[in-house]
Amino acid sequence: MKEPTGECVRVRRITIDERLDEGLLKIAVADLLPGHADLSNDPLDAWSDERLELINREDYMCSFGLSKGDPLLGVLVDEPASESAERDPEGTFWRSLEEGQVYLVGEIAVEEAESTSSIGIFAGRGEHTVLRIDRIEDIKKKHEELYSKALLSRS
Amino acid sequence: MTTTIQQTDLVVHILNVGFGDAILVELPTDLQGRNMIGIVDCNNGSKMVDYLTKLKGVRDFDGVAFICATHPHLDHVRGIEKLLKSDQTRPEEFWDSGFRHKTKTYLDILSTIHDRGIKMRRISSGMEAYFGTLRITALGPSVALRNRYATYGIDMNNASIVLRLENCKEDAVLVESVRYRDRDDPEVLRQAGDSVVILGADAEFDSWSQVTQEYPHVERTSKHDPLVKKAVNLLNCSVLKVSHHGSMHSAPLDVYERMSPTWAILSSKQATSSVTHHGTTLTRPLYPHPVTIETLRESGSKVLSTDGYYESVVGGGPELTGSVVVVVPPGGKPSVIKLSDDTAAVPDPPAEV
Repeated sequence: MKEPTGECVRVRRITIDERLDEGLLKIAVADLLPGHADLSNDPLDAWSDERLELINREDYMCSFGLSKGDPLLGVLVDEPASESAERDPEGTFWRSLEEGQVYLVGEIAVEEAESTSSIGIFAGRGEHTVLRIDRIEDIKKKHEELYSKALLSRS
Repeated sequence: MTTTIQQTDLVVHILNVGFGDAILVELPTDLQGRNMIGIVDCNNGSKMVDYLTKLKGVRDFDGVAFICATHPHLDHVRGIEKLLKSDQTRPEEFWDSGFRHKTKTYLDILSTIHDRGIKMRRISSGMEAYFGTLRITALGPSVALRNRYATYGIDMNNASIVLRLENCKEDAVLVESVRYRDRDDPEVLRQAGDSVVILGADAEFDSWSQVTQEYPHVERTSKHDPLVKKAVNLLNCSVLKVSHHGSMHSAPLDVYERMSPTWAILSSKQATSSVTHHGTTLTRPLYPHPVTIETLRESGSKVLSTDGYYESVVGGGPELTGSVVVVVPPGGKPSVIKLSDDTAAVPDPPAEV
């Protein structure tokens, strides 16, 4: 089993696995392994095996390294300008969490390339942030290619 | 009186792996004389491998015909990569629901399937597979649901592969052709499910509504005689692995009445949650939910749960945990036994029931 050591940068990959109830979510959490920093293409070997965690509406922000009233919440909600988001960003973020979403959580930096549409994601740089990566085109393409290769496999 | 388990029997082992599923299926001897196994979901690869090692000492098997990931939620697939990588448990086929997930666990499975050249099949309603006297039929997911995955209008649970396993007295196709010929006795209908086990995966309302539509209970009457050739209820079964660990959305009563299982098996670990409606907070167990408990009681089934919760609530006894083993002889009624392992222990597979 792949397990992180104390030397690694504390960055986690969190996938929303299942909404069990209005107030309860199941998430899959993997920790960044030592020696990995470039997370631009969602490298699978950079992560520990996933563990399952149950989170509820009252304590879920801890899993994302956030605290109540954190200004980052306003950025995370899909509709930051909406009235509901302004009134209740924690609640809006909670309700927007759906199975299949993937977040990187921790000290990461996002750098946009000048000549291409690709972006670079690097651990160990920048401040604590929460970055949703499953909508990034290069990563979506990689996931689709993995499925396609598996489906086309023949013994 | 006990009976030694035979290689012609269908044996379904529902392992106690906490919140999740891990099901081992011993397939009856096939026409090539092979004794193969199938694996339906695996929440604990180590327990499955150790259990298989013990099984080899009781009833040897020749290989793994298939590993079926009913759907990619973590509690159903967490142990599968380990099985795919081992030569002992490398399957001839990997069965997938077609619903793609983005957990590292699921992506690792896809990568391993490609690296090891394992044949991957997307399963949907109507698929049939035959192993000697055993016929496996996929009841779900329906094609109608599968075609809506891309819109995300269907959640992962309703994309579950639901399997019907019937161990026939003789060749499954021949049995089908003569079963209902000139017989419209209701007793025949009732007996039709004697040798049937349904594995409900995590199917919920959307899935069951399609299943009941695609596998209707067709009754033969004199009025309809010219139109209806058979009297058949393919959902009738003796054993049901209750879907979605007994959640509140897993058990529509009318579907359970159609199935009328003698035995219902819950693979689960109880958890509690709260929800607030109009200022009132409702706290209740989820797996199984009280609604499911009542549904199972209404259906008249005998219920066993791997975490012992159901028996302790309904029977008032202690929570006795354990894996559940179902043995179905060809054309016969099942025998069901509960082992006494906790989630960490590896029980001895039974040699007799």
